[in-house]
Amino acid sequence: MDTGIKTMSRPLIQINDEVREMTEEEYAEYLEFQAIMPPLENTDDAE
Amino acid sequence: MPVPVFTAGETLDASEMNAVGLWLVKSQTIGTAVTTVTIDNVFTSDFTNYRIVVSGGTQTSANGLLGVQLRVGGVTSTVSYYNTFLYSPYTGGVLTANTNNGASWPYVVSSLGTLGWTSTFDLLRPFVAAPTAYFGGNARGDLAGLTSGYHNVSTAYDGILFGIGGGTMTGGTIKIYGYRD
Repeated sequence: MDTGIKTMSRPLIQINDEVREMTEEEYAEYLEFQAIMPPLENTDDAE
Repeated sequence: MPVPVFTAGETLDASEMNAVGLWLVKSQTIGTAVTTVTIDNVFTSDFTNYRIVVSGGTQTSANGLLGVQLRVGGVTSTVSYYNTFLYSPYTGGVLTANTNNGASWPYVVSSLGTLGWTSTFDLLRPFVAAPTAYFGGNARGDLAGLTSGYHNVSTAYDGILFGIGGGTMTGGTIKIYGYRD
């Protein structure tokens, strides 16, 4: 039965040549990484 | 010895082949809209030290960072990473230090701008049961930097994971070369 509830897909990871969706555990580790890797201060608006 | 030029079908000369300093171990294309790229079973006893080149590709979020973690047997090490990433804009602005002091996440080895990934780094002794050191640099449209540090765990690693700090990445290549011992 289609409940109409859609689950959000998780980000994709690549292992060698295989690309797949993250597992729940991998997603938790990914969020931890995102929290401690802020962008650099300078913007890249010129080459 | 002059630089040898090899032709198809030619018998390879041992002295010339033994003088080859860098050997391409792995060339990995980055997929579409991925957040991490893992390359396993790449570090072996064939080489003590490696050169890694990350180039090209695109990113959904501006000003992100690319970090790495080491892996063995399909398991990622998430502790004891130390690094300092020094960078400054070409306009002569402030020299900034981005550091990790025993962090769970990686070395910072690349910074993405409109040039795509632009980074090379040396990874020293990843497959030796000793701390692994790295030294590298990167450049983008508005700034450039140097990064170095080490992973303070005495384990022999056979793989590496690259992760983007925000958004996703598409395309580009990761090339891993072994330095001849």
